[in-house]
Amino acid sequence: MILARQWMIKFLTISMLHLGAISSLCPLFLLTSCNPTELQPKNIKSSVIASDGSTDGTAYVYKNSPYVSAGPLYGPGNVDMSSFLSEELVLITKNTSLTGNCSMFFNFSKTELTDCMRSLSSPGSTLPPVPRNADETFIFPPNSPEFYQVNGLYHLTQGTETFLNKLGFAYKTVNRMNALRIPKSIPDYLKHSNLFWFKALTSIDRRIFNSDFLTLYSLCDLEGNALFDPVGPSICLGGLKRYPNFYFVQDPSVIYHELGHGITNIMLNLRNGVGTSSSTVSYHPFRSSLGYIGYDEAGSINEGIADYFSYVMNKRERFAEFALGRFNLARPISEADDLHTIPGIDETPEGRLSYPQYLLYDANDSEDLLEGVHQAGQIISHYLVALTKNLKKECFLNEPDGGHDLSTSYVMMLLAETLSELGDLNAKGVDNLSSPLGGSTYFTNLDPTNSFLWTHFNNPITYRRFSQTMAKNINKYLSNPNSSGACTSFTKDKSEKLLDDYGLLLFKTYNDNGNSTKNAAVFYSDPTIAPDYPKPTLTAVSENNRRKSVLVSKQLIQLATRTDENPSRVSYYVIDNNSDIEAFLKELLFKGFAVPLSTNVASTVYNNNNIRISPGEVVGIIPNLLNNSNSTMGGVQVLATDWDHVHVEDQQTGQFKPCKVDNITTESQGAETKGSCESTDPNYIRMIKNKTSQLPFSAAPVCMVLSEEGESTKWISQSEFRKKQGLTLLDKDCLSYSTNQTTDQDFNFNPHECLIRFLPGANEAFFSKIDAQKTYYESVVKPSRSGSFNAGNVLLLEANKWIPPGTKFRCRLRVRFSNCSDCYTDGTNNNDDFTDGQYNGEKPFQVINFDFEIND
Amino acid sequence: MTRKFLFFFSFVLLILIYYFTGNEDKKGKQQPPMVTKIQAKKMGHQINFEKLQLDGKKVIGLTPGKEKEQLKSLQVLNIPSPEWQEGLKKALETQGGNTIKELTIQNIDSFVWIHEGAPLFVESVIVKIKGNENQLVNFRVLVDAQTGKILRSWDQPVIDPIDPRSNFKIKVDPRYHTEN
Repeated sequence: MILARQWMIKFLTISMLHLGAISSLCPLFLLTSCNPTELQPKNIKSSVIASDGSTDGTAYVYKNSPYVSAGPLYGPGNVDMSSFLSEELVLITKNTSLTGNCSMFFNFSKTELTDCMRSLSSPGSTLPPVPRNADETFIFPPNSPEFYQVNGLYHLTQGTETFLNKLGFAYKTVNRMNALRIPKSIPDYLKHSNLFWFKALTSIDRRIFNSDFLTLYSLCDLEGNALFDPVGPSICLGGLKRYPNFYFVQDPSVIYHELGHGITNIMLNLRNGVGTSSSTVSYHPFRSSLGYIGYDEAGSINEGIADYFSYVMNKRERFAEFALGRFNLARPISEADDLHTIPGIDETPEGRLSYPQYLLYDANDSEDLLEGVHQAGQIISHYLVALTKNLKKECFLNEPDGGHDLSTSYVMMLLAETLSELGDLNAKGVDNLSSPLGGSTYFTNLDPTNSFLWTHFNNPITYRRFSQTMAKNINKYLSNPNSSGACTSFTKDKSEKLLDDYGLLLFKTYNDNGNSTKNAAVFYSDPTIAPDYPKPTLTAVSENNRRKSVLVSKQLIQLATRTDENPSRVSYYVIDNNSDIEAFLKELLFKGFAVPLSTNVASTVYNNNNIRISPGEVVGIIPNLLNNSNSTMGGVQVLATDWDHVHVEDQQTGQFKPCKVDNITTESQGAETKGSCESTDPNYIRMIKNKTSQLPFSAAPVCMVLSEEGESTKWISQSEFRKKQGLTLLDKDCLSYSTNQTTDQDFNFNPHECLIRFLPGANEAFFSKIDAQKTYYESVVKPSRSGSFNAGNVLLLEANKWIPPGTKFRCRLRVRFSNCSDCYTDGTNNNDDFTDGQYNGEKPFQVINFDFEIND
Repeated sequence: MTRKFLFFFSFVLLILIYYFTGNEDKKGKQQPPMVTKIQAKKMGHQINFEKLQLDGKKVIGLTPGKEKEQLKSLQVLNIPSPEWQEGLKKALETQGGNTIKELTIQNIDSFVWIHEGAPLFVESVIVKIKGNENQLVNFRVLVDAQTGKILRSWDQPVIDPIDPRSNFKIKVDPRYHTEN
């Protein structure tokens, strides 16, 4: 019967489109007379339009993808969405064109934003949003561009309303913490900053967003891709040219996923506008984001949350059954989904998709290893779905909908609290009850001027940092009866066990004692900071709950070396062929990562493809790290950013001695143990040339150079070397020196990276995992079908063309990983996390010495 | 009168010659040649304590409670120049090579920012690039308002390809593993 009806609808569509309305009137009459209830969707649209205004702004929409409506074999060729339309007209928008409005409740007061979203066809279009038809509806021919814009707006509105309802719920729920004198992260002043949406204050200026509405482009010229662009802000949904009638917009779960990236961006930045009234809000000049180039854990968390939002919306435990599924690329969101075909994956504690074991797991091709944010993100999406199901089971099963709405609201609240703290660029993390915290003591991400660097590089959002903050918030808002937890039967033990099932119990304490970023002995509860709060105590993880989450010492990671047993092992890979490096630079640019290349003294034109570092080259470096432990290491990060590892001997010239941080650079080679080497400076100040001298600094570039004078060999600064060795290089002949015609000074030039430097913006590398007793290459690259490195593995290094061949360099890279036992906690201080300031030093890291000689 | 004038003129000329020769010497010793000019400009910096502004530009990153005190002693290192835009364009073109079809730089904000310890006049801009294959990308950068040097980029798009295996890859050079 259904098939017959769809056939009739199709027939009528063709009739309407090709023969015109008059020629279709006859069959329409016949069909309606014999089976009136079967013809609701679009064919009788003219007859159902009411003159009382009740159908104004309405249309027929597809509520699900063709996979749900027509089964797994439908499409992707000849997709005809007219077969899947709702039987009733639904409201698209009350506005007269395809724009939508938003509203959010702040306790009992509602804030409305008109025109907060728009639906357009493609970014190239200069047309305004499509207006209503003459009959005041948005009914357009199925499969037409206008039809997709209507449906796009419908689903975008559904997703946005759900998000803002849940954020309003979160705002109200966390607000009660003020009465309990417990700090929270979602700020009271959110209603003033308007950062609950993309609206911000863009009508006044465009520092925050380019437009004050989110635009959905339904038919982007984007081959095989969909994206969320925070600058727009916009969502772009593409298609596939080989299937002309197939578009991502046909699968609502893809819209929810992309909107999921949008709301993740919002939640990360909830605290980045501060003020007690709308007129006094000040915005941080940057915004936090989740994810870097290629593979990393922040990007994986972003994908996991976006997949989870699809589950929030449609309750189904698989993402993109149609848009990706027709190409065998759909993703499961829970272990219950039958896309998981390998034995052992199920919803038991043993069967969970655990970290780091399943980081490279592709349910559609489980034979291959795939290092990608979408695959690794499955661990997060599965955890969030499992958490939701646990909350349903423990507390909300008796709700009319089985607890889905309430459980997902609590999970979204936990996400909003977690992300707003982690992404706080104002570096407070909490407020003084309902007012912003004053003063210059900070509690997250070091301080406001360095917070961007901290939350994206020096202390980035990894699986460890994310799961630790989630656990803290679960304990605070759900489990703990002392803080009137909303679901106390989901106890701290149960929460820890669930995290452990996923291998995510990667921390020893909840880091909830509220100490400051630069001094572990200063707390937000101090009388001069926020005296209303009692001093919190540090909550420890119950070690009995740690069964699957294995922590490994940083001492067990090192650069691989060639041995008799492993003669093919390589310490690091040098990529110096012109085409690969140019392609990588373009890849960075077209993903939005601009890197300030040096001019005149280094360029890819010098690249000679001899897999060594030669004068003038721009090369990619991939350290090949070896895991000497008997467990897998996950989330390995290599940092080539400046850090506090030198002792400045002469403030005027900035000449320094390297600190003795290991047994590799010894005192006889010039290493210093005293002075500033005795502690880490918690203030991050890069070494930068002042007008007449050096500015005082606490962080030096990673690369030093070997000075050989007679029998004495010492590691010295590059600036000292360029003068000592008769190079007489002027500042303008140094790397990173940048001037224009009328300027002859560059005040953010660092003379101590004159000869060799890692490029800012490409000075971090990330590796998904390294198996026990293997190198990264042996664990991931070699066994994968592609046999390739990904963009996230590469550090970019420039070599000055004036460096004499034979010059030796040592670069002190810092390495850590997410399941590290001694990279994050201070064993001498009750396993409290290191302060942010300590991430300016070596203590939380294993220092890897990258030694090389310049070749001709 | 003319003699007096000539004497005075010669005296001024001698001072000027001495002055410029002295500066040449300094240049030879790699001292910053713009010092005098910079100082002169700095002397003229206009501070608005009420709005925490310097030369009409907001100063961001001052320590709460110590703003006025810090603003009084703030030594901004660079001097804004309209050529920052050309500098930025050149930098992006160097990175993108011949793949950039259209490049738009949209100025959003100008302010003083303490960048990794160094107070600088900066420009916050949106970069829009269209590639040869019509691929579009938007992102934001913070640049030195004097040179156009890129200090930071953010707000990158989140891209979801249909095929996760289509991501950018770098093949392992076979010279590293000849046994394979």
